[in-house]
Amino acid sequence: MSYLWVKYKESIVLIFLVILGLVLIGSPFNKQVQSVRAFFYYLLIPAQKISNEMLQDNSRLAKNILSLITLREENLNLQEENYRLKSQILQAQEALFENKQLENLLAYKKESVYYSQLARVISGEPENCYTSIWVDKGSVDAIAVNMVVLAYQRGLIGLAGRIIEVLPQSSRVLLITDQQSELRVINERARYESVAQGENNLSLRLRYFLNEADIQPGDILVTSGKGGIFPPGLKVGTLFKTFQEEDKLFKGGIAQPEINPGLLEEVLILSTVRR
Amino acid sequence: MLNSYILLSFIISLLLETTVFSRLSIYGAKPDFTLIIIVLIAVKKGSMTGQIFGFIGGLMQDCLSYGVLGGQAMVKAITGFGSGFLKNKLEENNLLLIMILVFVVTIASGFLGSLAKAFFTAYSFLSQEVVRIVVSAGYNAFLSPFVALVVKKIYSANK
Repeated sequence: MSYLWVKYKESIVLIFLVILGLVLIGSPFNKQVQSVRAFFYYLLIPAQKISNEMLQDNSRLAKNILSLITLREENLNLQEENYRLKSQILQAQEALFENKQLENLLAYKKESVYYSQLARVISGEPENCYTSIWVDKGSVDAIAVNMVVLAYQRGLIGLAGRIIEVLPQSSRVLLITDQQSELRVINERARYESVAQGENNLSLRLRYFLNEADIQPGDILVTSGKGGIFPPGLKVGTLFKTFQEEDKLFKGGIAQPEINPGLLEEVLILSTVRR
Repeated sequence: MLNSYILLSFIISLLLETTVFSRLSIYGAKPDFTLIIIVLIAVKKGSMTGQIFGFIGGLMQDCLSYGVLGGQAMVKAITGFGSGFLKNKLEENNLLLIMILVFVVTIASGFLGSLAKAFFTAYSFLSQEVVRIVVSAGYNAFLSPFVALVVKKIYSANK
């Protein structure tokens, strides 16, 4: 026995480690596993927050220096935009007043209202940046599982994902580009429904478009509102390729997300309050 | 003492992977500093140390990922074991050889990881995943000389 151990101890230890790995893989996602993970997050999240803030300070400094160069021109543009927006606000106020009057007239009651919270991205996953991220808002900020996460990038607002895990000071967001993420979408133009699944990269795989569905590259995809998590009308992405599925029963497609979930710095967490 | 330095280097690696390099990803691929350190330790200390630290480093990565616990631990243990066969066979100062080794090991470990994921979860291996693994291997190979210098410093400080 001891001879075997001396001769093959490395292989024996490897077999033991592989078996241990398999046992861990097979273990259910229960409270014990979650608490082990939570221990690591508690250990790393403060350091991640500090390093992230340092990074953001540095990038802000660089951005500030760059923005000084174009400040005057930007100022003039902003002034112009300011006048334009002021006139638009007046028009909007008029429309809002008219809308309220019509609502009262029809006794229309809204189903729910939304409120949002801005959160900063603390970290991503070690392996792939299109799977999940951690944000700096948690249960103390009234964040809960399945809250919807939006992001603003290059002047575009799009769906980023949903909350899947909440700790007191931070929460994990499952990005729409993760392979485990599936959501119901419709193409805005022709209103055909499909299921968008992440591919762990900057694209979404669309399934179950009906064969007669009028879908074209360039169609905008929004959430359908079915499924109970995502409210309707949130912009998800743009269709850029369509094809017939192998089983010939449905059409499929590939879409590009509205925002790049791999490059998020800040997100908006949307929560619903039912009336 | 050396062991605590290695564990500390794993923690720093995870911090870098999840913060700084989240913004410096190429085609969704990030460098895997933990893997580079495991390869370097295994080459220096052999299969036994390589696989044990491989398992610990992989488990730490698993804890930070939203995937199955144990997948990376198993893959990194096998990687450490395999790399340990090169103990005393690789010229430590030959950075080009280290780069090639890290490149090859990253590809092998990437495919092994995807295979394990596909076997145990609903994950399906996609062609884009190949691109991510190859880019990640290139990224790791490029950064491996710098990590090698750090690991060398840790060893010399412990002598």
